[in-house]
Amino acid sequence: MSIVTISRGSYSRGKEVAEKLARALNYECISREIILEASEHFNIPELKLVRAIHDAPTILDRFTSGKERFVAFFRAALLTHLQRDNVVFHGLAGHFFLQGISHVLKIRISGDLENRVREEMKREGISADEARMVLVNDDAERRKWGMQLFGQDTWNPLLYDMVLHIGTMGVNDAVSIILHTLDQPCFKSTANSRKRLDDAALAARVEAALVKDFPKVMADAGNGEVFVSVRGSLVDEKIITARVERLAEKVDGIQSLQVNIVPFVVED
Amino acid sequence: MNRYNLEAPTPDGRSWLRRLFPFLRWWNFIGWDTLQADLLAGLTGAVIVLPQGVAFAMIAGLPPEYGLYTAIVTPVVAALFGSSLHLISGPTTAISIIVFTSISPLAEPGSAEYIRIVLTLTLMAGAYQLAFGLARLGTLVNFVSHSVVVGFTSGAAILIATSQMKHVFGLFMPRGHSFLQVWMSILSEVEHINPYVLAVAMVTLASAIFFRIVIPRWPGMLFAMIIGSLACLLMDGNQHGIHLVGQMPATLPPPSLPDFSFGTIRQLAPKALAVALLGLIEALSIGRSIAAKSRQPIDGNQEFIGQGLSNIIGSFFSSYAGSGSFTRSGINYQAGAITPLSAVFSAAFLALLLLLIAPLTAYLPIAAMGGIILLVAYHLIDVHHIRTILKTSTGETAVLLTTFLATLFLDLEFAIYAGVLLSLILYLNRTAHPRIANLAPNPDTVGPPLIEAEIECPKLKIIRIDGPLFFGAVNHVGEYLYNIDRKLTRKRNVLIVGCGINFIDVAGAEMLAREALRRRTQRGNLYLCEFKPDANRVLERGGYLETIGRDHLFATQKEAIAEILPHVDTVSCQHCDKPVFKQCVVEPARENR
Repeated sequence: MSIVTISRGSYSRGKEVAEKLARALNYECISREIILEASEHFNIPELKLVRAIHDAPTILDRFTSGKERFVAFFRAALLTHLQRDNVVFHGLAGHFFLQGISHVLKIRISGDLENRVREEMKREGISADEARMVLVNDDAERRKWGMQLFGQDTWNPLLYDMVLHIGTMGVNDAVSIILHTLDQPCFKSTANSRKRLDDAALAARVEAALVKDFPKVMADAGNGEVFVSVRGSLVDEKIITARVERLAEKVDGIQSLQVNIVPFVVED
Repeated sequence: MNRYNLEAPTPDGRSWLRRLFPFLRWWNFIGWDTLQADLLAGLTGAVIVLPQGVAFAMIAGLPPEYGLYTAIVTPVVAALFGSSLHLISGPTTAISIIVFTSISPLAEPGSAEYIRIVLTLTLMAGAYQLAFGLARLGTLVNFVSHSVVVGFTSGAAILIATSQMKHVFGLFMPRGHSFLQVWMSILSEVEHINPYVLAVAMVTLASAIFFRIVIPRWPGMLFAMIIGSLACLLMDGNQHGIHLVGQMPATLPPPSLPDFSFGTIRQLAPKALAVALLGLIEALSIGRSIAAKSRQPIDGNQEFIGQGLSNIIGSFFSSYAGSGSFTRSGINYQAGAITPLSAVFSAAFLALLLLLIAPLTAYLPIAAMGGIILLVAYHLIDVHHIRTILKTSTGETAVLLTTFLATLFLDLEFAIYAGVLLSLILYLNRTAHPRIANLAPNPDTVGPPLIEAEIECPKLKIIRIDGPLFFGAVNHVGEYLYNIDRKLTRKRNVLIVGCGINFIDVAGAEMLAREALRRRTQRGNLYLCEFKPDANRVLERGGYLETIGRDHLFATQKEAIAEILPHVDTVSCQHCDKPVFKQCVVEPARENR
C-alpha cells in the first residue's frame, strides 16, 4: 500500500518506467487524468491547466496570481485522487505537493541528453540541433516554473527519495530498483501517513475553493479543523472572514474553520 | 516552510539589497488584490490631501501649490524608504507652523526668497533626519514624552488659529507680530472687521463641521471649500474686499534648487534641527499608533531614513518640510490600504487632480481657507490626552504646560527643546530615586519567602531596590541606608535584595562597599542576595566583593535568612518585642505578654 510519484524530463523514459512499475505492482498509473479531473471538477479549460503546470509564470501572472490558481486546482485534484492509495503518478509537481508524507516514494528520472535528442528527432522529425534546443529550452522552462512557483529547483535531489539516471541503467533495472525500495517498511502506508495525506488533501480542496477570491490563500488542516490564512487589511477582518466561511462551506470534511488575516509580510 | 511543506530556499544575497531599498521587503507581497485595495485607499487619500495641502501651505506662508507639491513628492519617497506600511507623509500643521515662525522673520512669506529659504530648511532638516537614521538614533525619539508632543501640538493649534485671524476677520496686520501682539491688534481693530469676509469664513467652517459630524466619510473639507467659494461668488466678494487665493499653476512639482550659501546654512542650522526633530517625533509616533492596529513592527531608524530622504529629495522638487500626517495615515489605513503603494497611488491621483482643478483655485477665497484651518487647529488639541495627563501625573503636567506655554510665548523650536529637556530631567530624577521597598517574611506558606510589608526586624533590615544602582542613584540609596539607623550607635544588619537592580556601575558598587565597611566598623553588616549576574560581575571585577565579603553574598532569599539570622545578636533577640521570623527564639514571658 504505497504511492509512487515520478518526476521526469521529456523523453527521459520516465513514463515507461511508471507504466511498467504500475503493471508490476498492479497499481493504477495516472498522469494526464489528473488534469482532466481538475478541469472537469473546477470547470476550467484543460489547455489552461496544462500551461499552468508547465510554463513559468509571466510578469502578469505574478500580479494576477493566475498560475497559482490553476496549480491549486491541480493540487486539489491530485491529492484527492491519491487518497485512493496504490497509485503511480508520473508528471510534474507531484513531488512538490507530497513532501513529508512517508508512504509516497518520490522519484526523479533523468536521461542522457543525447538519447533524449535521438527520441525527439525520431518523434518530431527534426534535426539534432533543433531537438537539442527544444529539450534544453523545455528543461529550463520547467526549472523556472519550479523556482517561481515553489522557490525550488525541480532538479534539486533533496526533493526526492531517489534519483535514477537512465543511461547505463535500463528501464527494467530502474523498475526493479524501485520495486525493491518499495518493499522497505519505511515506504509502507501507515494510519498516520494516510491521515497526513487526508489532511493535505482537505487543505488543498479548501485552497482550491478560495483561491479565486484570495490568490495567496494558505490552508492547514488537521482532524477536520482547518486554519486558513488570507491576506488583507485587518480593517476588513469581519468581511473577509465571512467571505472565506461562505466559500469554504461547499468543501466536504471541514469540522471547524479558523480564518487568520495576514495584513503584511515583510521579508528580511 | 510554506503550504507545500517545502524547506525555505537558502538565503541569497538579496538581504543587503533589501536594506538599501526597503520597499523590496514588501514587494513580493503585492498582488492584484493588494493593488486594488491600495488604489482605492490612494484615491481616498488624494481627495483628503487636496484641501489640506492648500491649507497647510498657507499656514507655512507659502503659495498653495507648494502644499500640493509636498503632498505629491514627500509621501512617495517616505513610503518607499520608510518602515511603516501605512504612514502617509506630506505637509502637516505642526511642521507648517514651525516653518512659518522660523522663516517669516527672515523673508516676506510667499516671496521667492522665502520659498528658497524654506527649501534650504527642508533640505537641512532632511539631512539631519537621514544622519540620525544612519547613526541608528531611532531610539532617541523614545525620550520625547507624549506630554511634549501633546503640549506642543496644543500650543501650535492656538498659534495656527491666531495666524488665521486676519484672514477670518478681514483685517490687515503687519507680519512678525507675536501671539499676544496679534490678539491685542485684533481687539483694537474690532470695528474694522469685514462682515463679508467673516461670513465666508463662518459658512465654510460651519459646512466643514456639518460634513464632519453628519457625513464623516465624505471629503468634508473639499465640499466646505466649494461652499465657501460659492458663497463668495453669490455675495460678489470681489466688491466687498474678499481676497482670493488666486489661480494655481497646473504643473507637476517643478525642479528647485535650495540656497547653499554658508550664511543661510549657518542661520538655519538650529531651526532645521527643530523641524527635523518634530518631523521625526510626529512620523514615528503616528507610525507606531497605526502599527498598534495593524500589528506591524516599526523600525525607527528606517523611518528616520525614509523621512530624511523624502525631505532631501522633496527640497529639489519644490516641496517644503513634511512629516507623517495622522489624519491621512488613519484614513489610509481605514480605507483598507495594505502596502505603501497606496501612498504612491495617492500622489499620482493628486498630481492628476492638480492638473485638472488648479484653475479652480482662482475662485477660492482666503477667508474660506482660514475657516478650514480653524477647524484643523481645533482638532489638533488632544483634549482626551490633556485630561489624562492632568489627572495622572504632576511631573507630566509640568512638561505639558511648559511646552504649551513655551510654544505660545517663545520660539517654537525652543518649546520642543524645553519640553524634551524637562521630560529628560524628570526622567533622570525618577531614575536617580529608585524605589526602595521594605521586606518582611511572608507569613503564607505559598509565594516568595519575603514580601513587602510595614513590619521590620529591629536587628535585620531587609530592603529591595527597584531600579539601577548607578552614579545618579548612589546619593539617594546611600542616604536611605545611612538613615536606617542614623541614631543607633550599634548599626543594624541590612540585607539588600537585588532582584530589581538591572545595572550597577562603579559608583554604585563603591557605595555598597563603603556601606559594608561602615556597618562592619559599627557592629553591623551588609548582606546582598539575588543580585543579577551582570551586577555580580561588576562587584567581582572591581574587587568590591572582597570588601563586602564573599560570604555576605547569597543566591536566594531563603539561603540569606538562614545564614544571617544565627549571626545577629541572639542575646538581645531573646528580649525582642517584634519577632518577625519564624526562627526568632523569644523568651516565653515576653512572648505571652
